[in-house]
Amino acid sequence: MIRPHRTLGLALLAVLAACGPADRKASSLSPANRPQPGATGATANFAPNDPPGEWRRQARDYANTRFSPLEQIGVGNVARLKMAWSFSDGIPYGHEAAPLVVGDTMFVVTPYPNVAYALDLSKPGAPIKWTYQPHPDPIAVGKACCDAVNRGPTYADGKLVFTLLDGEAVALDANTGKPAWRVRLGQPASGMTITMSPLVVGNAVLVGNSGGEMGVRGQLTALDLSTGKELWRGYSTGPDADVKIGADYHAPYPWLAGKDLGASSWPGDAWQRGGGTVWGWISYDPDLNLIYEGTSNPSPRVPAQRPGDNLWSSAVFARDPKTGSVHWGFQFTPHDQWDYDGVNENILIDGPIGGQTRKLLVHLDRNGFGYTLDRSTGRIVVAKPFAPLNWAKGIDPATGRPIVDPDKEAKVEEKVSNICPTHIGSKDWQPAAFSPRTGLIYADIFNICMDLTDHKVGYIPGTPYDGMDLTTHAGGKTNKWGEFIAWNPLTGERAWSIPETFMTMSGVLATAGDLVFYGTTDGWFRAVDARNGKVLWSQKLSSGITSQPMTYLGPDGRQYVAVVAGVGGVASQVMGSKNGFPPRGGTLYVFSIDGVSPGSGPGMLTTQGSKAPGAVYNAPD
Amino acid sequence: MRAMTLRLALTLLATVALGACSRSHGDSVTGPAATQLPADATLHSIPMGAPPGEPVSIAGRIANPFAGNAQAVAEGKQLFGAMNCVYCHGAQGSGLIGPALNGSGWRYGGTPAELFNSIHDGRPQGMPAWGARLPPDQIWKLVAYLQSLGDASNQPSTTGPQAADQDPADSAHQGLIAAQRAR
Ligand code: HEC
Repeated sequence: MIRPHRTLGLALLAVLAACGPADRKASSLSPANRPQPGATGATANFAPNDPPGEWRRQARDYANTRFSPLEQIGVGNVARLKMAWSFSDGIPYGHEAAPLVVGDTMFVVTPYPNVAYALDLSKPGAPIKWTYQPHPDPIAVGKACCDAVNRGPTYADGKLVFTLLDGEAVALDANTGKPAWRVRLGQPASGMTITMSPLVVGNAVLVGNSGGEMGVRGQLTALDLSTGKELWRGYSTGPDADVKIGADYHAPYPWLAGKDLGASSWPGDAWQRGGGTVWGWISYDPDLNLIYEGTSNPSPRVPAQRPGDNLWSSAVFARDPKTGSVHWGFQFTPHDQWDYDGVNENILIDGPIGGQTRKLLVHLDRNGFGYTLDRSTGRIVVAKPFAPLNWAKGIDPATGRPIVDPDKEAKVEEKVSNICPTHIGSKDWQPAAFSPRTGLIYADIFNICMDLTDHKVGYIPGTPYDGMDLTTHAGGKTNKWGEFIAWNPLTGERAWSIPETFMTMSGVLATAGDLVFYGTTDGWFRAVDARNGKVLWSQKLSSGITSQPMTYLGPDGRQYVAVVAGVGGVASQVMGSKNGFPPRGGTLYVFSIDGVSPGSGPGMLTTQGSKAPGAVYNAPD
Repeated sequence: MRAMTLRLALTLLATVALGACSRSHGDSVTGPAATQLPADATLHSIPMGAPPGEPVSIAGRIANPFAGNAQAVAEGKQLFGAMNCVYCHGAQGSGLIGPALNGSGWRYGGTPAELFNSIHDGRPQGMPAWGARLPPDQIWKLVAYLQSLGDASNQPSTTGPQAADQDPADSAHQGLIAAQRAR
């Protein structure tokens, strides 16, 4: 029964290969990546220029564009997208990761208990090649503020690298699933967890931490890719030596110059419990040899207990990946009063500003401002609201500091009504994408405001260092909690937008087929014309989408689009009991044109088992 | 309304919170001195996993010496804020990082003794052990507060300002104090 189908598959492979786009080895710098008429002129460096059909890290490239050069699926045929196959992991926690594809293998890492699967894409139904069960400490489940999530693995040099909720990082042999090393970076009993996806630069695995709601001190650690040995660690708060501010440092603005600002901008030793955790994305510019790392809200969340700017919380660092040395640091929200973490992705693009091509960093912050910084200096090029906000009246161009509206400052035992955006910001961690064909940034954002009352809070290790007492509501009179926007990073203006009734909290995928893909928390997966915002295809999935879509070429030469449904995280905390909000449960969906794949079609397809022995590696508890 | 109630509770507390946090085992014990507390050994002999509500185990036979004591319930409520329970379990125990504690079901049993043990010894998925920080009488007061929540949730809420204040459209966000946070 299987043989005829395999023959068909091989025939198709031959046809597609002959047509060109199926060549998995072709350079990613194809004409498909070039700006099209009407584009803003912004482009990007797609290093490390992985094979175009692969997806080796969550953001695909170092610049964090989430742009794929694949174009088999485009505006002309995307309406024929249908499910090809699916994979369920049976886990109820929020799913926030993208699967990876390297060669003929897909890698999936689940939320807690952080099980890793390798799926053999060369076989019908993509059978499991190996499984790794790390058995992280269950204590972490009750310490993670916002659900026991994980933002996915990364692939480098034959290893699959990812983090475990209980504060560990692990590297597996990608071929066999056998652990190469496993390293603990902090104690979950103290409130530290890890949810972020590591980035590998050279031999350095860069791993941050979570726990900014529990008084955990932010840190970024570099581990040796081959051994897991610690190379360096840079903290987000404390004296310059701990932060790794030294001779390389150049302040983008005068208020960011001075000795030990990470300690002196706090009362007493409060910086030791000051948050600034590193739970978002890291990007890398190989030309400047700098990594870019955002930091979380300060701890406690109640600002009355920590007068000062609270550096380097709600900020971004540019560091040398070899040493951790800080080249510049910029704080988006000094003395954050609203939980506006600075962890959102920093997308590295190059674009014309006043007739000159500049090296830029685009960052849509939780605080509602869309920043375009000069990534060599950390100085602001553009800073304009990408969503309605009222906590600040603008950004002072001389200092880069927000001009705070005193009416919207948080107060102890006094309710402040209708602060926009709410604590999770105008946009949370869910990463935007960039298309060089349009020169636009595409993002899932929120339209949510809050009524806030602060209470003073005591520090008890391993418990929330919190104090924010809030209720949320949709902004304006729209009752639209979400929105998908196209943003011009060179001018700070929207090109177009699609309002959504439910929160939009997925990553975005952009492709050379002029498509952008995003999901909604009520479970719609959509494909949109990147040029004009026209919705070309929608599919309702089994649960809400808070993960990151990706695309790849299968071993059969066909382009697939994959996304995980499995709502959770802050989306469920904020909207979980709203009428129409879907239940939890993680399932990976893989789509192709007409749903054709080795995992679907006429005849009786069966699981063939995998090339590898189907090994299960169980870490000792 | 829930937020209001919480605010009131925490207002009372704000001044004692920081002091209470550093309180160590053996600090002066408040509350009626005459109250006879169940013995430690008895409590620790309670097996895990007996179905809640079935008094087959010894757990069902141990009463909370503070049950229904209004002053103890009020003190328990204060502790629920000062010990940061509220930021894990939500206003009035409605559930957040940790499970709901308002009588809508128990993972480790809902008898007073089982609640005591949950708080005293902690539970594996992130519930801290408070035995080292709080003396037994304070833990029993927390239990008394939790018992009062269970009672309240079983009553029809048709009268009083609480019921009138509820906006059904926004019920999703009631009690989401401090709930949604960054990471
Ligand atoms: C760091 C967050 C956190 C704090 C602070 C915390 N809890 Fe918990 N609590 C949890 C979690 C998570 C669980 C569930 C543990 C499990 O399932 O293993 C839990 C479980 C419980 C249970 C058992 C519930 C059941 O269904 O059986 C009780 C009772 C309880 N907590 C009371 C308290 C009290 C009282 C305080 C304050 C003194 C407190 N908790 C503080 C997170 C917390």
